[in-house]
Amino acid sequence: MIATLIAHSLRRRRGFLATTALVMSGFQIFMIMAARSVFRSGGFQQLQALMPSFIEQWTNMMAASFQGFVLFGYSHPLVELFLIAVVISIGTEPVAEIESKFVDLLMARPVRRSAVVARTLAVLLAATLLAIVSMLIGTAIGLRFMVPAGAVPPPARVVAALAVNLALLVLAWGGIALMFASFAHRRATAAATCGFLAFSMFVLDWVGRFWEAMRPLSRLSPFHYFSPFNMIGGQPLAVSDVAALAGIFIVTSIVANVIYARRDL
Amino acid sequence: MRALRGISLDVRPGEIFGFLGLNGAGKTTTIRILLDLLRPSGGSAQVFGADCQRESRKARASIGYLPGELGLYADMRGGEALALMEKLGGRAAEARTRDALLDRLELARADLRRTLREYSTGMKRKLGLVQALQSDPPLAILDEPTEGLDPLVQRALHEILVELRARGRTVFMSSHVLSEVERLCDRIAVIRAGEIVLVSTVEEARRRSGRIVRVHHTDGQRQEIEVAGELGPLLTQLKDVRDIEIVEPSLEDVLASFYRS
Repeated sequence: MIATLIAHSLRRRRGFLATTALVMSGFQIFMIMAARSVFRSGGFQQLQALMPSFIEQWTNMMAASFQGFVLFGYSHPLVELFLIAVVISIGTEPVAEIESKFVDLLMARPVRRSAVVARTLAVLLAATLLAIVSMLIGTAIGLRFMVPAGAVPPPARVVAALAVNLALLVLAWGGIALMFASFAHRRATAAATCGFLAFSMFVLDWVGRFWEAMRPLSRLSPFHYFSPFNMIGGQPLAVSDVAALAGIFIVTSIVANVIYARRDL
Repeated sequence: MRALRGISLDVRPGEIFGFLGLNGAGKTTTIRILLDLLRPSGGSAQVFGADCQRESRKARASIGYLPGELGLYADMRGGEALALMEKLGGRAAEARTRDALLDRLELARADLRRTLREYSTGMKRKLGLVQALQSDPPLAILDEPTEGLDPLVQRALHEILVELRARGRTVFMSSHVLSEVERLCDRIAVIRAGEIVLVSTVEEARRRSGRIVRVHHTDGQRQEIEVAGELGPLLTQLKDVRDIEIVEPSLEDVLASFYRS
């Protein structure tokens, strides 16, 4: 029965998911093309000369090298926010079904309420996996055909670590969206609240990075546990970041399941 | 705010039961409790012995449901919707049963290939009826089943419901069309402001309401008397009578008194 629900949900979103995959892989190819262009024009040397030292330290010289520019494709705010918007759209599916009254037909069948939540979690996982794999394919294609002579491509383990960290961040927001959807009465309310929260947490994380006094508070933000610059600088994916983001996903999924099982539909 | 108060209702297997009331009286709320879409603050409901909350999956497994508003996605095709609902129902629909329903409700095969966006209100209703009845459920819960249907299809649906009853299936339907209730239902219940105010057969309901006796006297005068119960005592008292007319109350009149009282 869950398989039927998952297949139905994926079928309904096939166009949306295909577009997401194309946009994500296309964006990575675009970033590599841009990096190649800057590299060929000698722009990275100029950037290094102009870059203030605190930015240099903070980004681990990310913007000033071919590989840094390519890896920026995995931590670009547009990428983060786009993927979070995608999972908010998917995570709020249960409340959309309530609003459209599709749930009346669904739950008139011998379907467990937990199956509806499990379906959404499965679609969230599938969509996140699809988006991240598309990004990796885009990067692989770009690096296969567009690395200029003399440029050093990013190491595969760094790309993989960034992709995993990004996937966990996106899933954490998917779980949060699902939790909002489990008690909201309208999809617009759930999605808008979650979107506003995501943006606020994004800003909080950036403020915490620059302003010491806000650093403890920024730990509340899921974005705090997405550390692309550390990985670009050669550090491995932090286990604490993985645990925090996976923890958010698991806890919000459990809370969503409990609330949805008890609510009026 | 309490939507329902102290409802006590028993629908017998193999009957067509009409659930009547004005808008907002609590008909849909009652149905949604049976389907475990709403959790009541007290009391219990059972479907074929299965508690609608504690054993809701077992209860729902024997239900075919037509909601008042068919919440299917506009980009779904009719055939897709039927297949999805069959798979989720856990009871395989026989192609013969489905085809017969499609034919009798005049929903063409070509229509099943169209998206619901292209469906008229009546076509959506027909599709809703087919999805509710295609797996031959022991209990059909139908919320305003004939709304939006043309008279010929309404008649076809009435025949289908009568056949279901003949095969021992139970039908629980809400309706505003009293002529259809009168024709189809073995028993009716009237709900008013969340409370059941009448459970009876249509005939019993009529008997509870008074008949109008029009007496035409030999001197040309006319008298109208409302009589509840036997007419005998009245007839013995009448004098100089030229003619008597006895007007049975319509179901509409009977129910109106229960709706308003």
